Amino acid sequence: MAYSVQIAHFEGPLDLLLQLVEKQELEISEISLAAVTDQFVEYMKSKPVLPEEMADFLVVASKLIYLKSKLMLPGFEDDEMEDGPDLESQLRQYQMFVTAARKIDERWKMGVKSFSRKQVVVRKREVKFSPSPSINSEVLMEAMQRVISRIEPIIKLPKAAIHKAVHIQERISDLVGRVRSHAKFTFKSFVKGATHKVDAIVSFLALLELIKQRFISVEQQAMFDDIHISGHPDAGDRDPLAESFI
Amino acid sequence: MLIKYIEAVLFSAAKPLTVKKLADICEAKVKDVEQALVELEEILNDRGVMLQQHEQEYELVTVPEVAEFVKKVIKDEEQGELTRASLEALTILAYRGPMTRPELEQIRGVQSAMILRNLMIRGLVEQKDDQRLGQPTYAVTFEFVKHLGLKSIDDLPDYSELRGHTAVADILDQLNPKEDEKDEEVKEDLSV
Repeated sequence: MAYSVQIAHFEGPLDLLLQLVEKQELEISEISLAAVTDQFVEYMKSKPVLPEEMADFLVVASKLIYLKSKLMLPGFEDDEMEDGPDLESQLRQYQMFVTAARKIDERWKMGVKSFSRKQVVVRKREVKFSPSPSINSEVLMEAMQRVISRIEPIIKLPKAAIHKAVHIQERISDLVGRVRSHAKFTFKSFVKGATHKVDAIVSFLALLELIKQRFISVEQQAMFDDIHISGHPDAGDRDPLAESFI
Repeated sequence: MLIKYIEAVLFSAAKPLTVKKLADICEAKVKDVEQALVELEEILNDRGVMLQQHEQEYELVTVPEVAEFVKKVIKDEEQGELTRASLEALTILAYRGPMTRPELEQIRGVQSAMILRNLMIRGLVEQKDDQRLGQPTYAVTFEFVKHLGLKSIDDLPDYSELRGHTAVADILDQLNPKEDEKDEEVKEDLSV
């Protein structure tokens, strides 16, 4: 990262994104969004994001990374990612409301309120439970049914089991440990204990990351053959996790 | 004569009344009451009290520029400052409401359940009776309009521009199921 901007506080992912773009004095565009992608991910990692807001942050982060990938790989397009609101216009309209909110805040703080007359209670009322005569058991049942029907859409959400995923950083350090203790081993032996397809994918990503960092060398005789892994001559005592962007 | 009735009724009611309620009380037609309200608003121009309107309700209130003097004679309930997030949600609801929670979250880009609840507790937002996509809708309250000393919500800066903005409509449209998809479902049902 060439230089970074300081942001003390942000409310949600769009707020963070808007502040990043504005601090760089950039207009909102696909290019400026792609330019602040790394910083956005950095901030997500450095500031504690509330668990209930994490999903919203990840949505925006994935859209940013997609945008950046699209700018780097001409012709690359993913239907699923193209679906839904595009980040650029979403951020633009968010900016509109942020500006409007500032004006409302000014007026709010000025205290230029209007007041109504205080209601004067003339009659002295007896305190008792007096439901409207129109309330009967049928009305109550209908009210309860409305409440239930409102809850139903929440309950009927599709169910999907969440698998415990292996973190890529764990796999990188596993791989580093293996390279340091074994002169040579194969990728198949490394993913032997994987219980789920995702584990194997994460392991493979860890492998790619270490190849990129010239920490390991790999050899594969033919397509779909097992991959032979050994330490790279340049590896030395470096800590690949410190260099990894992940 | 109807203008006088309405002014007197609103003065003594000391709470917002709907046009229909006013028509009942004054024994007049809704259409005539609406016309009388327009005239009353003009008559009150440049006075210490004004006609305030929110949705279907009207109330007689003091004009905002005299607030500091009025505060000397009535006890003002301090609302306190709003957090950035509350202010943001309130602004979106004021310009675009009534809207559902998913719609609000679509614009803010972050879940807003807690903020909505806080705004409701403070009496600035209320849940409306009408639903959209099986979800209740929310809108700002009369209290909010009063707090900003507006004649009505349309008096917000750049109201028509922000309310009718097509970009916002587009973003919200993406939440709704597509029309052609719905048709397909129906056809499938018939073929069974």
